[in-house]
Amino acid sequence: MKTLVIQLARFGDIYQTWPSLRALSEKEGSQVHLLVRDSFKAATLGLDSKIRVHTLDSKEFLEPIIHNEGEEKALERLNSFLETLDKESFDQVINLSFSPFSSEMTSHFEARGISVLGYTRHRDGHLNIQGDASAYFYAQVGVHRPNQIHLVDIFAMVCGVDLTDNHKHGFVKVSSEFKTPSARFAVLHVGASDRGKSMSPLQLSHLVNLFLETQDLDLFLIGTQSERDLSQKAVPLLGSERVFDFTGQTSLPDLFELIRKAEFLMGCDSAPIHIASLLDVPVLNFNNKSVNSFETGPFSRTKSFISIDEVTELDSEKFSGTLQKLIHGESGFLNSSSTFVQSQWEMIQSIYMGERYPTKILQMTAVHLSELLEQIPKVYVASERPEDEVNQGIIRQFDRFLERAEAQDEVLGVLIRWFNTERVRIPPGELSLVKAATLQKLNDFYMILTDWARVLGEGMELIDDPSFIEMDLNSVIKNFRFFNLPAAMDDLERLLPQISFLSSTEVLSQEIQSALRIPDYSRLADLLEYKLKPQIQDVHSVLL
Amino acid sequence: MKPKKELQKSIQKLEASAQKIIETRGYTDESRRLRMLSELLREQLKNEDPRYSTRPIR
Repeated sequence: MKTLVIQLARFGDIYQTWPSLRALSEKEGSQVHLLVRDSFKAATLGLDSKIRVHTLDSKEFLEPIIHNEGEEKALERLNSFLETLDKESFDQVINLSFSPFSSEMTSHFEARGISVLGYTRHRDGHLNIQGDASAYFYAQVGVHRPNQIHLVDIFAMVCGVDLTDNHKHGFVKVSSEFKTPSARFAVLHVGASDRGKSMSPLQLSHLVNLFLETQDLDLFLIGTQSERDLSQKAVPLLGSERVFDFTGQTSLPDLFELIRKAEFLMGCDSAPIHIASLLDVPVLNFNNKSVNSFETGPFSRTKSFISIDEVTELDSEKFSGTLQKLIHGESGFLNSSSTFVQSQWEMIQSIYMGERYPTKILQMTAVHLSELLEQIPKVYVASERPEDEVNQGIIRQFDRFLERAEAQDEVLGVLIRWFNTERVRIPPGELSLVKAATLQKLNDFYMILTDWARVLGEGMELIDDPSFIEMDLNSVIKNFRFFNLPAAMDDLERLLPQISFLSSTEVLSQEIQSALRIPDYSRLADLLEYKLKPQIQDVHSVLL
Repeated sequence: MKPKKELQKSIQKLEASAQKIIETRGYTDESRRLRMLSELLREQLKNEDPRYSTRPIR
């Protein structure tokens, strides 16, 4: 079996593809080829030599367009590139890129009778999501999504391979002449794949000071030339002979060598944490809200996590404790934060892994769920005759409802994304076939919702929803400010019972009652805006 | 080198050509390649970030 794996994403994703490539190449009679972008080819350095690497240089195709030489020349170059790949006569193409371009490229191979996995295109040009793992990616993977399955494992699922520790942390053949100035050290990557995911110079210097205070190891700073400004700003604040700044001074083989010999690596979301993972070096990962560390964090056997936002509040005891555990092979848990986020993950587990449904939900979810259970039978009937204009209106209204509910309601959103993905997976064809498939998906959706409603009926717990309350509160404040009193009083009456979970409600209620008695509506609006709203926002930030 | 606006025009032109082919002759090799070029250009506008996977790409 000759397989082409398409991985056109960046460094980190290529490193996270290595375990699947190793597993694929182990299969009897297997020949594995990998396609990466020319600019990220360096991430294949050290990969098993039996995996043949091809590169795609977008500049080559785009130059004629960018320099006004015409699209024909660009097309000629693209044709020639595709022909070169065609000559390899692949039996199978696996697309691990999940991008529009890669889906078009995969469909090129599919059109030539080659079996494909991952994103491709239907015969009418619409997106075709091949395989359940790719469908899972489409529906649930990405930053701000509640996925907790690592990308390494998702790639393996798309490829249809089972990973062992040897695949994840196998032999890496990279050699370097780099001489380390000391034998016992840790490595700190000062940057990240983008600046939004990295530490500030102040956070960096605080972290390094803590390290020097609590550890007897030397510290080697690494990073690209463009990240040197970060270390240069942080290093003068340190003034220690135990810190060595190698940012912008190491080649990729040097990095492998440094990380391999390190006691552990500390770093934000970027390729070095994945290099360390491939080498099975313990990793202390710093993350923030721009990263889903469950998904793209380190996959070393030993790893721990600290939020970047907490770095400046870290004391030496906590920091030292975390590192001690790491050095002794004890992993830290990645905090899935709130009940709210946990419920979203439980929803994923229930749909995809047959686990129990979440029973801790927002009041809003209960409302949306009952609305859906009422709407779907009508939508089902309408979908039987979609050519009817009235029915089209019902279906459009249902789609708008789903769009709104997905945006507002993150637990139900998981289920809505699953349903929408299943609908995207319906292939083009005769109207009767498309209709039958759509009705089947609607029925599946309804069955899941009914089942969940049954479980909730046996016992559910409502989570207070501060974001929902905040929206109501803004409306009350506005109405009091503009003396729209009947609406303001109605809204306030509805709002007050919802804030009973706040610790200072009693005092605040008395102040509100006092302002109402006078009556001083401006004072009332101020109380709501400057005393109540910040408390709700605090709770909201903790929940999310 | 074309400015950003010009690149956007090129993307629109490539997409329109691809769409025209799809409507008349279906999703052929030619339309597919035009779309590949337009997607590569689009990635350039996004600072060659090829992983905007959650964009609705239907």
